Amino acid sequence: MLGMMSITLGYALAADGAEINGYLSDRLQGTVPSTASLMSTADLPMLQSLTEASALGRLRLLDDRLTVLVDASAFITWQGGYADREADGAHLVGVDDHDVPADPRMVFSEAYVRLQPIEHLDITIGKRRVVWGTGMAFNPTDVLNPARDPTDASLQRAGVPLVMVEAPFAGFGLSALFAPGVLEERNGLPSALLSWPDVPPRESLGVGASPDPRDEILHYAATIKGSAFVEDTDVNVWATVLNGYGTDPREASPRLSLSLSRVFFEIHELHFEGMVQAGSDRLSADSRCLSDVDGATTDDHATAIARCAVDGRTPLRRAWLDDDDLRPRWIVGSRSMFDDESMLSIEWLYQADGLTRDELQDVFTLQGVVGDLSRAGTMSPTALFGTEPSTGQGAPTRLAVTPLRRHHAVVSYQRPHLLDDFTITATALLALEDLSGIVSGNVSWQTTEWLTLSLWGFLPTPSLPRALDAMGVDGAQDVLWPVVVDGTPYGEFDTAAFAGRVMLEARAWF
Amino acid sequence: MLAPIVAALALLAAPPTPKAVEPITAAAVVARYDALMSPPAFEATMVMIARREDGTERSYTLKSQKLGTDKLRATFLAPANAKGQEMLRLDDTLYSYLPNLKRAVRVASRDSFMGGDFNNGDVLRVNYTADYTPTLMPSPDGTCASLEARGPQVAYDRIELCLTTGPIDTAQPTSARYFAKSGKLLRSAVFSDVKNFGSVVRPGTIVMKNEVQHQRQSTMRWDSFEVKADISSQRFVVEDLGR
Repeated sequence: MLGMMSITLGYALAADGAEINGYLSDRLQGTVPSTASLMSTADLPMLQSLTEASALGRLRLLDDRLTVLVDASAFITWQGGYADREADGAHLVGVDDHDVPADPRMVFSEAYVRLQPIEHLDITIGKRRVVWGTGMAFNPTDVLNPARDPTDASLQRAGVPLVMVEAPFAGFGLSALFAPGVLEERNGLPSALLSWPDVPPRESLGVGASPDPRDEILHYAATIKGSAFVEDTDVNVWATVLNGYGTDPREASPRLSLSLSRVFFEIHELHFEGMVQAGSDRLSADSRCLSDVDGATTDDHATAIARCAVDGRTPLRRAWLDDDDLRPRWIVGSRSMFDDESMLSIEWLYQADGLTRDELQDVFTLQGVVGDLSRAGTMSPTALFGTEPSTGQGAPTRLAVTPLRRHHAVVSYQRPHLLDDFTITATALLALEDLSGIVSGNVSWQTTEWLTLSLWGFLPTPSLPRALDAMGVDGAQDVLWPVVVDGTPYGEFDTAAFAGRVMLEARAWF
Repeated sequence: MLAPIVAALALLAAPPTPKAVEPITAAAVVARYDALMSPPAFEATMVMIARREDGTERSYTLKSQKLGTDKLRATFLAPANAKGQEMLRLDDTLYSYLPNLKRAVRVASRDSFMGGDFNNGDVLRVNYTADYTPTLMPSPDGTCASLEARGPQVAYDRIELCLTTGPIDTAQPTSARYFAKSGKLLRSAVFSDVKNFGSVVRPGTIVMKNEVQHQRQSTMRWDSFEVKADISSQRFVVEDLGR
């Protein structure tokens, strides 16, 4: 596969009709760790430089009936400067520089061959990002691709290996997709697909290694989709079956999805994207691994966690895998496009498998315990939670957010061509159950046709109970029923690892 | 025996009776414009140069394909930061494909085209016969018609369109003025550089002047324009964008 990609990029550089374009970019990032973070921030670099070389090569053959495309990026990361809240205090203290695994060095976002043997029949083989949902900030129906940055959807281009057959016609279409699970990955390329090899993964060898993840099942996702243009509305309906795919270990786990998009009054696009499934693979805290004593201390919880480990349980678990209850997720939103080319996007994300207040309380309590133990040097977070799968990460995003609770809103405003060459964007991500949020702002300057300079800022905004508590208002903990850890109210985004983040990026296009 | 032959020769030798000149209709003006600027099926490569208030310029190169009266696809070839972007018009519905998003989103058709002085409708929706009701208007500039919008989906509410004088089947567009509903003049265009593209003789350049911000104007120059008998209809489905 690597050979095919290299040949495509090379041929794209040389061949008639072939094309290549891309960019070189350098991003400087400064982060202020948050003292409100329950988890340790000792591995969060305060300074980071990310240099990216990205190229997209495309080769069209046989009168455009055959397309070979490779979209690849190489990253060089430098990072340093670490700080954490002191073990028994409220102030940041420096942490010695140490090695923290950086983002992937090489990412093949897409690499596929697309063949049109006859008109209205397309066959795609390779790695490709296929997005059928209409949501802008989130795609709750997307169970295949690496998640994207909700403050800038364009940052994540990475897809997954798949075979897809499409029959597109004017006004309607049919698609069938089969995506083998990526079980191991090296240098951005899958080294084990669909089933585990006979040889155990390197990470599970040796003393203190993670458990051998191999099993006997086939890991895949299979989808069939129909699309139609009805009453001026784009309609997509698709059914998906996951079999040990991604983070969902279940076999033959079905999902049904629907997306709609329609423009009203010329300038307002309304969209819906929803999926229904039985149960969920969402992680939650096992309350049996926490002390049930009122006013329990970190030591009490640590004892409960240790007891859990002896019993063979992990403090984080996927509790609803065998649940028969239907748990829908959807996003509903609008994009309004005004005469001055500005765009206002408002979306509401609902996820029935989002955590309730009590479930979030357990997660935050667990995070607080783990944070305390990490800061005291007693235990590392990975010892408790394990490591996330190293496959399918995609390109590094500027902000990685996994919404935990049930209701969220995303409001985004963008104004391009301001003074011709400037684009400003402001985005607010809000947890509606406690009103905590993350706001971001961006100014991009297209200095020439080949150079873009961009400045970003990210800031968590406190939940209403936390803000009231900070102002000394009595009864703040009774407002919107927040999670309370060590006597302090916490909303969903109050535990963000950073108090502020600024980025400057220069991107040269070729 | 010879009489019929003599009569026939006499007829052939006689000076031709002048053919009655049919008056040019407003519909014929618009039909001629559509036939030249937006025939039923074509493939073209063009460059748009936007000159801004500070005198600087930005240029975009794009390939456009059209089929029938309701399907048009435009693909950006340059500059590098816009390369791969596509726009697809299907009747009144407009999609924009963004390579970084890897998907198409629906957009409003009245937006400015890449920040220049052309609207999306100017580039993606040239079907004056269907979109406007024309009436002839007297003008010293040539054969002119006033076009009133039939619906809200078009870029301008009224257009004054002028072609060269003379037979309508050889007339070429020379100028156009574009108005808002209030009657305010928004844009004016000059058509020039009439040249033979092989399958059609038509203007190769339009200069669109912004009448609201007078320092601004955009130039659209066609490098190629090929009238086609047909184009694969699959090129005009949303799923094909990004190919």
